[in-house]
Amino acid sequence: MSRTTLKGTLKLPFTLTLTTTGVETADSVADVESEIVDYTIPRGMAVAWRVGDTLYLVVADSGNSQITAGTMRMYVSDANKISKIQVAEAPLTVLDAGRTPEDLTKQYKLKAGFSRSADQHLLITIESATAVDISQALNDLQLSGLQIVQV
Amino acid sequence: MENMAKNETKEWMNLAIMGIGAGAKGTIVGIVKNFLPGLEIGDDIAGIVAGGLLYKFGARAHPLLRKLGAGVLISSIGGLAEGFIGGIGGFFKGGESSNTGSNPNPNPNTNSLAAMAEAEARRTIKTGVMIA
Repeated sequence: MSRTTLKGTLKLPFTLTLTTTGVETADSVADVESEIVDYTIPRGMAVAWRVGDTLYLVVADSGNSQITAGTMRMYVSDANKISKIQVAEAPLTVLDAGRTPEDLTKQYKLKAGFSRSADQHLLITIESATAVDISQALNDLQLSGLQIVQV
Repeated sequence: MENMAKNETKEWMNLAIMGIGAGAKGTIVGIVKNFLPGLEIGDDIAGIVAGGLLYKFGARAHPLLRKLGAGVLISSIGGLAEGFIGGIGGFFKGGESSNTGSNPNPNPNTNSLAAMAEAEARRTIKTGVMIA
């Protein structure tokens, strides 16, 4: 009985959530653009986000109520977070579509592709009149993409 | 005459044991990495170190371990050389990287992962380019 060791790269579907390994979350400050998600790409993998990949984001205030007024911005950054380049911007109102099968077609889709590799960062910021309390249960993030992993 | 035959058998046996060592490289590297979980080195380098140590000091425990270590060492050096040789193949094919050279299932480095991710991201861009 021989055992085959798989060696090489695998391309697999990827969904970034608030609990993905490498994600650090933080509360936002009212009326100030604040980082709520800082995703550091783990070693041995790279992630590609392509045109048409979907983003679902719901943020909540300290009373666990959804914040609908505000702007989400997404940035890519180097490993030392010296340079920050904006890759997406959308009002919060369009980001909560896709919860039910009926509104899947209304999901926010990325307008441009970008990629990050090991140790680099993907940042999501929120600017809203109400501060985000990231510990609330209502908060949710689902960003689809493609992971390329070394095995 | 009988001695010559015996020596030849011994030689073949040694080769066979080295072959077993080469086959056991993955297992030995796995054991080494299991003991040193923070080790940020490739399997081939870990194999060279483990194989080298077995080759040098293994005979103190059992004579066969030295031969087994030699097998691990040879296999690891082969693994390292594989990338270079693949790269040469790719060069002659017209600038392909080692990932698509003579080795169809390589162990890519971080840079090639990044390049693959960028290619995936770029592939879907229809209008405008925004690659960071």
